[in-house]
Amino acid sequence: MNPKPAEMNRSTVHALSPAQSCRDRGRQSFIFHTKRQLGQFARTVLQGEFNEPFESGDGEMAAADATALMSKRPAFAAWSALNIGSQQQMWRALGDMIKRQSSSLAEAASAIDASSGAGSLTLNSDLPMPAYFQSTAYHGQPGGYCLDRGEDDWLAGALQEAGGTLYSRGAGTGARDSKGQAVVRFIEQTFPDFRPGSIVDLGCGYGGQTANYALAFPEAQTHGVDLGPGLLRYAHLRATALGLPIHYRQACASQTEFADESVDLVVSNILLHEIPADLLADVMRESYRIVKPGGLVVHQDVPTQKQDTPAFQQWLSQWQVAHNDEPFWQSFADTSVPEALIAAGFDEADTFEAYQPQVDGPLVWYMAGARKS
Amino acid sequence: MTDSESQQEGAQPAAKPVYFHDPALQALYQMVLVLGEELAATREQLHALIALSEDGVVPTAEAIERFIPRDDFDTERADWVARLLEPLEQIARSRESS
Repeated sequence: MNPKPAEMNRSTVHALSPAQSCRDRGRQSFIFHTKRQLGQFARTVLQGEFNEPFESGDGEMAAADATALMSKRPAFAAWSALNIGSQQQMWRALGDMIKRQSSSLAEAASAIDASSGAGSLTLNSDLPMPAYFQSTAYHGQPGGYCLDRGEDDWLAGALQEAGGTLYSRGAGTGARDSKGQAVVRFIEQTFPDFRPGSIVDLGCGYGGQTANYALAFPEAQTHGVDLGPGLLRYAHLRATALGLPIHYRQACASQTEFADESVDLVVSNILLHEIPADLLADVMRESYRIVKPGGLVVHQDVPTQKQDTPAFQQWLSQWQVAHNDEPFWQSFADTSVPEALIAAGFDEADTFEAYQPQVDGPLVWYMAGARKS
Repeated sequence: MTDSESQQEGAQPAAKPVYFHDPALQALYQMVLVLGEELAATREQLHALIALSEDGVVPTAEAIERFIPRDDFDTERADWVARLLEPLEQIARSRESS
């Protein structure tokens, strides 16, 4: 077991972290720099081309028309082809790195005595998998989050952690960034008196953010919930290796099986834009059902809400839908999370929306939630 | 296919839009990226080999794997990718001047 780290972020190393060979480093650096420079190209050249019709007096031009215009521009076509290609390359390079070390990583997993830790893993092989979850390879991740090749398989979690790190670094995020820490900072700044005794992280994935909550609130009992068994096996091994007592459970975020009003803090990190709109409403109802009176719900996600988003960013969001296996990105952008919270039962006066800076990066995160009366 | 069988293979990425009249052009972009990535990997190994040799270390496969480049080598990596992607800017400039 590793000593418990002081903080968890994109550079946290643990027993299941694959070793990067010299070739891996060369391949991944190439992908990283390609993504960075394509991002820079989008923010300068493409944004300029996109805004041209608006600036040249065609002020009435709709964003949809601008999108149609852009799709005919050679620079946009080339940029799209390179972006699609770099994402495919990323998964290939990371998959090669992990699979090459499958024996040594399996040994490392075996050496983690998962039963010795204070955490737990509860899988449910009878749990029906929603069709959307089985058919979406989020961000092009091979196999998606539902990948489950057997009772010891945790490849989905390993790919999600490695892919999330390289992708976000390429998008400008620093090595010390952490979405969970951003939520913790938001809570500390907005609700300084709040100290949860129990936490549920909905759609916890590989457990990177759940670990942050366990570290920030060591007196709390921390739970992670997800549908993907391969994600949860990895999350459980990872938490055990890091000495964190986290309880992982396979369940849908809309049916967590926690008792009514039994949880102090309900959180999610970039879950809402990865689920259909009707399920988002169900997740809000479940958040309301399980959170205690006086408890807090915080959902963190991408800042795509229309009222605060320039037309160019909205258009780039649509690009994600068609090109980066993000089928629910647009429906999330069109959703008012506070309205969904109110429809779920929260008082309007108790709901909030906010934007929180990244811990290490130029972006801001969208936060929406409520403190239950 | 049962739920269990489909989870073993998992979800597959959706087909992506094609932006060129000739789909081979999109494939060509992919080929260029693969070549760029392979060259980047080779540059990484070559850099390690030269640096080890200059330090009088026998550049065995193990020594190359263990080698950690200086931070400023990342500037060289970035410059190389910038050079590769330079024609993108030229595409945009040619539209502006036409």
